[in-house]
Amino acid sequence: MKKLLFLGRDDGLRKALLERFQAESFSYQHHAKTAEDYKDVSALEQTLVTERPDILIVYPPHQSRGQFLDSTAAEWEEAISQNIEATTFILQAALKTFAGSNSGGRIIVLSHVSALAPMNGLSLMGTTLGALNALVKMLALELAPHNVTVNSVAVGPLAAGLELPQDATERLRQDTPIHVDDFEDAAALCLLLCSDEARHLTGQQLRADGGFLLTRGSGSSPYAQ
Amino acid sequence: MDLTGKVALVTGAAQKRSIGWGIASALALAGADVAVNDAYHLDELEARAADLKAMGRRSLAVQADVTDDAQVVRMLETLVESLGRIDIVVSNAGIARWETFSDITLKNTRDLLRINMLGNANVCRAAAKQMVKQGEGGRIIIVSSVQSDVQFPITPVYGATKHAMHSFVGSVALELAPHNITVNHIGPGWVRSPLNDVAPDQKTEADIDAQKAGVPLGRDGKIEEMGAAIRYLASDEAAYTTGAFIRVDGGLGIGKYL
Repeated sequence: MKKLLFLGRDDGLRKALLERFQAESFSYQHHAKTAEDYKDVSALEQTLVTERPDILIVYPPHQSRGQFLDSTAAEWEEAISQNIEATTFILQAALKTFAGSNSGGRIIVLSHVSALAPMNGLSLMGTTLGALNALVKMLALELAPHNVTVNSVAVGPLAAGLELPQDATERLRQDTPIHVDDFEDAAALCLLLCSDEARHLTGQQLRADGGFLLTRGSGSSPYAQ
Repeated sequence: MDLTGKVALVTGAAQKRSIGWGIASALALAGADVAVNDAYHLDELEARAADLKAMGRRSLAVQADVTDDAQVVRMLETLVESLGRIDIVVSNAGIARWETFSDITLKNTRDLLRINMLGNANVCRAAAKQMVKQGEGGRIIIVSSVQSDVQFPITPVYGATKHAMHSFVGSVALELAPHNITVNHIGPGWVRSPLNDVAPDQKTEADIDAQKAGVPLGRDGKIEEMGAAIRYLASDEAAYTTGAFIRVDGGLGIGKYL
């Protein structure tokens, strides 16, 4: 039985992942459910050493929506600290743990389409998650000799914890060619990445977004205030 | 590309061999009045302002740490009090650290994130607010790196901060478009500026030859060439370019192999 360790946000996406992986007979542990726990990297490093998972899925905790002009330096510091700094050192600990195990493995960073295509009102979230895509590539290079793959999975605009007005939700749904945009789709993609068949797939930014990034909406952004 | 009558601010511009000075002098040569900023090298910063005045431009040396939002806000207030307005901001201040991913330290990571990301956010936000207040549009330009597009093995966090600028610039460009403010970034490749003086892979003649061999155009970039790209993005001719990235790298970022 393969062991999955999940670090980060506790929301619908995490729940969908849990159900899907348990259905496929993976054992499953969830740590760092809160942002504070997620920043306690030394504790998480110990968890990695103790659990020695086959699969690590990291879900950075900071998600927010708001106009850049209204953002504060304190909000930027918080987002940078939670999403980039903490994730960087979780991944560094993972590098040491996975490289030392010599049994291969899978690392996935859960992300959002705003990290790949900027969206109005999501500068904090998109910028900090975008930074992680460079780290994913770097870690993929360093862990490739150990048969560990490292990828990120970007969920669609609606499959995140953002609280959106109803009209924005409707616009985003209309801009998604395959209208279904559920947590289950991202969970399925993660499951694929964790399969033996995906052993040659590394350093990539994959999307489970129903083709959202294939299109450009017309008129004003649904995120405009 | 006449910038006469425009007022610009360039951060990280004290040192004469720096990209910041290449940009400040290019904007001044095109006619702009240019304020220069740095957190350190204050004697040199004053000398740069004097150089710009000797070119017949109004100038100002403003010390501020871009990671401190209060200092950045005061810098913009000082600039507007002295030069009347701001039309162009070039957020250039940044640092680099060379460490493998296994060896990166918390201190270096925090320094990189604070200066290269928080610093850009602080400078761009303060300048954008003033531009919105003025109601006549503006130009926001960030100096990122070729590493926005390609990764190098000993600068993982530096690369992450530069890659993040794709997302940042795009998102802010969308937000500020209704105000006719354009937001873009340029990606310098290998420039022998003070930033690279301590690079571990550029110490010997053999290192330099290896660097040259890695650039399709076979040489380092000049600070004047970075200034030329910024001058274009700051000009009226670039009024329809927003959310874009221009690599100024001799082809370094084109592909992995030559």
